[in-house]
Amino acid sequence: MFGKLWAFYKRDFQIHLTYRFGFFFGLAHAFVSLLLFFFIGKLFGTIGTHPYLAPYGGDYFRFVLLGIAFSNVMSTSLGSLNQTISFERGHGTLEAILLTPTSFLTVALGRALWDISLVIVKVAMYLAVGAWFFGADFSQANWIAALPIVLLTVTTFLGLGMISAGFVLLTREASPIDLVLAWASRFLAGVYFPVAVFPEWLSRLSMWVPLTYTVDAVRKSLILGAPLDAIGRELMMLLGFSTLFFPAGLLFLHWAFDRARSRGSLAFDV
Amino acid sequence: MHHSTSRTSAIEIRQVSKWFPRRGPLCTPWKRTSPIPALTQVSFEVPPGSIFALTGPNGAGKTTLLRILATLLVPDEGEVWIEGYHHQRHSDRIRRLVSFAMGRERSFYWRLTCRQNLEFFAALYELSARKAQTKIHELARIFGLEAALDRPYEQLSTGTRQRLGLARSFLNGAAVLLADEPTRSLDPLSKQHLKTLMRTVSREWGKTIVLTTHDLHEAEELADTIGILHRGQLRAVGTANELRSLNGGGSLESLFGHLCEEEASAADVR
Repeated sequence: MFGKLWAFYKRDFQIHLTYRFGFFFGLAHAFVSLLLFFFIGKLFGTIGTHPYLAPYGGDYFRFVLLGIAFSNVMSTSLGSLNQTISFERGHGTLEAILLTPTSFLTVALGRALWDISLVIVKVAMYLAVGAWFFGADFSQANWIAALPIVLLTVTTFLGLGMISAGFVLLTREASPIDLVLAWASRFLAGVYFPVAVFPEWLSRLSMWVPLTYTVDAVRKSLILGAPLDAIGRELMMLLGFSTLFFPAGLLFLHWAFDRARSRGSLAFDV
Repeated sequence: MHHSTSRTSAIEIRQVSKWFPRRGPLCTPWKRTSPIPALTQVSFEVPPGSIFALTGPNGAGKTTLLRILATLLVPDEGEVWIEGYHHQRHSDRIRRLVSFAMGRERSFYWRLTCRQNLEFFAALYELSARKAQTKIHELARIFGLEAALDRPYEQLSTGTRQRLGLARSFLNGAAVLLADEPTRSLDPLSKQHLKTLMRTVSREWGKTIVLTTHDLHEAEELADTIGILHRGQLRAVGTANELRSLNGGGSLESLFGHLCEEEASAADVR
């Protein structure tokens, strides 16, 4: 399986290399989107430290920068498998791959592996742009703590992504699940503002959103330098979500694949 | 023991039927719609090391049958045995025994070179990097792809793409080769070259070949047995001479026309 995963990884790297300007466009996108929040952050700065931002060090730009950067891990994990199926089916390569003795899980994870390594680069790019161009201060950051947060976020949202990908296989239409879920999660998890501003009922709802724990833990560890035991509750919640969603996603995707094979919906042109 | 020693045929198809679900109207999803029959009670056998040509008009079910043999589709009724292995119970084993040259251009990565594409699929067939290189060079020589190996797929002519598709199907050294219209889009020279190769593969290498074609001359020239499929039913099967004698010594074209017209007029009456 590892040889095949490497083959997928190498293939995606080779395809990526053919898009010569992709990296620069990514950098430009990070810069422009952060520019907007930098000036919004200036506004907060001029009216003094906002009480809602105080638990996160008081700096809105650093708060939102981490929210945006790490919500990319969620959206990539959630949409990767879905996009893989659409990509391979659109290129007519899904059937060519499935003719080989390669399990559907290997196909799905093969592509996800590339997307996830790419999103880690993207997160690093956001943080670098934020620090170098906009002066975000990460001098107290506990970078080691970010590793389990990212890992558990990936497994949680890959599980949900598998459920979404299963729908794509069955319906042969783009799944709205990941898009709706991604934006609802960004809103409820407090990517752009602290959840403390929510009314009670929305605050309760946000406790059921895995991204809430991701952004909370990442802010505590990278802004305040919290050690692993200080973000134990967030990590346990993410572990719980992973344990629930990853196996459920695997089972659903497997079932959807068998059903698609039976109905002839693996190919685009049947 | 999975392998059945009592089976002497390389391929055995028994009473295979396949229906595709019909999409109901969006406004009345509760209405049951009857599925579209693609294959009805198809049975035949292919001896090892022989060539079987499936012919029939467009939409006859030829490609559906090949996809079933390739494990990309599951039949709704009937059984398929390949080299003594059951289609559904040993699908993974069958994928190692069968290769499928899909008669379409959209089954490769357009931005990668021929070599990169073949390397990727070789890895999925579990060939080591060294073995893959040897095999790729050997296949490039046989299929006249040497000059095209390091060119991106998107820059290749239709004929070269067709040859690359065939070359890929030989990567895993499968015992059974399925080819969907293998000579389509080839110039007369390449076509002749390919026919010679098919005969060599069958006679000298002992591989079993099932191919589809619209060209009755080609079917007669290449195949030991010809099957005429029409509207999902195998209307006639036998050697070219046996089929002619079915038609009172007439040509294959007139038999083909007779079988298809007969069905068409029966359908018109219905």
